[in-house]
Amino acid sequence: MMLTPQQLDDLYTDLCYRMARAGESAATPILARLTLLLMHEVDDAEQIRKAMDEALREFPAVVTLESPH
Amino acid sequence: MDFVSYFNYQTHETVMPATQDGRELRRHAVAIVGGGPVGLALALALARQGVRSVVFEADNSVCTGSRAGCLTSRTLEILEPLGAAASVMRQGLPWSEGWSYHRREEVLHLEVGQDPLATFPRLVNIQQCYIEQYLLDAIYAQYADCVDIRWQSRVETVHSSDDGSQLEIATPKGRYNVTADWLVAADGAHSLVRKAVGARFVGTRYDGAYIIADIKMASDLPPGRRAWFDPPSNPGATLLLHKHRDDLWRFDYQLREDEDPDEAVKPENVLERVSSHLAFMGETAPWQPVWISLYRASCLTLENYRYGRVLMAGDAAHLVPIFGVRGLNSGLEDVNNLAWKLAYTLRGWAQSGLLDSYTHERLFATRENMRHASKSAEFMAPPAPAFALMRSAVLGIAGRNPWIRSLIDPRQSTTVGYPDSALNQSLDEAQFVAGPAPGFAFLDGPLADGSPLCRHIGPDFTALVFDGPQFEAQYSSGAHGTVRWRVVAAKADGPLGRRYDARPGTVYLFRPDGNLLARWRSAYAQTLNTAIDRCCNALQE
Repeated sequence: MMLTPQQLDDLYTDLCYRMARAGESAATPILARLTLLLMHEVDDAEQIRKAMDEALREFPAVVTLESPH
Repeated sequence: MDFVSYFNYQTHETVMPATQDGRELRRHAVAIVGGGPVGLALALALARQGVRSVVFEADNSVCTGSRAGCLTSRTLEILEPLGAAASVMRQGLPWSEGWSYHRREEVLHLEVGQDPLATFPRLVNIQQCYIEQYLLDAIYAQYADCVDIRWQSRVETVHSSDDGSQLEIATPKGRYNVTADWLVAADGAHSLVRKAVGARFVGTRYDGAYIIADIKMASDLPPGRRAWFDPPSNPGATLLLHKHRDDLWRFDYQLREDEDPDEAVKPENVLERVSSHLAFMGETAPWQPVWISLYRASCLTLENYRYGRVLMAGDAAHLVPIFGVRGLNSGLEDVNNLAWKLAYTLRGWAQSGLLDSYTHERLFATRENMRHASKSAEFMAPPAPAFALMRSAVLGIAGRNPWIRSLIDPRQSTTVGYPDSALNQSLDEAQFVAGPAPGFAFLDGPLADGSPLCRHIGPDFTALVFDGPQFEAQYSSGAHGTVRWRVVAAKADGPLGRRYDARPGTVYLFRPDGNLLARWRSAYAQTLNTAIDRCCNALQE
């Protein structure tokens, strides 16, 4: 089920208004929660990883952080 | 407030051996540096293999302070045939529940699954001083003539070569030198032997600091793991609480980045935070402090646990964050893996490849342990702001979204098998849909005579035979000596048979450490002899 352009527009605007009303400091934690909830809804590791890669595309690593995994 | 003790410490005198020109007259087959739980368990496990050892311990008693606090069922299965599990079960406090809170809200109720066929509960809280005492008791009761424990004997220098190690020992009664064919380092995180052989840790040291505070408090609260994220008593950080016997409660809390650890560890500051947390919990019983200590989490390992005739075990070889109880438990798995390989090697029953497999198998386990423990540590103590942001999001939605609670789960230690071990022999594997695969530890359960399998593991190979064939105990003559295997009988149509996907004639052959070597739908005695020969003659990689 694809979103119609109108649905996308409405959701986008609604999110902006509601985050703005919650105050600037709330935007980041809200987006973090939304990410987790959407991961659950999408329910497809490959799709989620693709979206993560796309989101991070213009943000190369600038902090050194070793992963022991 | 006065500090109190819960343990009756016995002090041990140092004993000087017979020496000539400052050198002990007797040359030792195996010297173990460090008389902590790993060193003592190794001495005990070697003695069960019929191998004598000498243990050098710098202190005059079992450990003080807050050390390891929880054993897994797998560790108890290792201690059972060594004669130390029953005492642990008498003193230990099994637990199977956990509660995680975000501020005041419960976000996870954890139930630790129990194995209905197993002899031991999944997790048992017990303080390390008791574990060491029970290992000592088992040594003195069964193998007093086979284990020589040198208390107040500090190893000052170590020189190793192809044919053994020279140790310089300092005691209150004087110094002497010792020669040993084989050396095992069980001397902990700050291992002297590790430095002496030039081995280096690789991995991560975490920035965060933690306080451990043990208190004595008579409370009726049930045992279990209690974790708070951002509680009012420790805002912005985490706090763990565990119950032990002797009315002992162990607090383990994280210091915030802006806190000075030296200041935070002062008794008045620790006791104030403990007090405030107990008030927050609504706990009103009177209490007294027992121990306070400060620690930092690390995720470090050597890349090799064997250096010629020197072997590294426990914290001397690897360090993991405490979350998930992988520290001492993995150290005792090292012992279990090492004892028989060392015994077989020094008797000439095995080629060098068998002892090399100690590194391969245990390093694989360490990496698995590190993977799980570091995930737990990253959740308990976020290493960067992004981790903290996402953790807040998880905790914030967990109350209404049960599906996300698995991320809060502390990932308690599970047994790590060795699926890629060079010792594994996988011939009939396609024919099994259940039961331990080669490299994996046995799954406990009742044999035909009702006794648990765990009691019958080691010191030799164990053939678990379902409904015949009628093997006799074997003394097989392999190319490199005599390696025995014994038979235990089980019913294919019983609970253990179902667990092992057994049919009449199915045979599982376990190594002396309880890990599976091979399994067959049907086998002759010669099939088992050949498998053992191949294991003992494993090629050096």
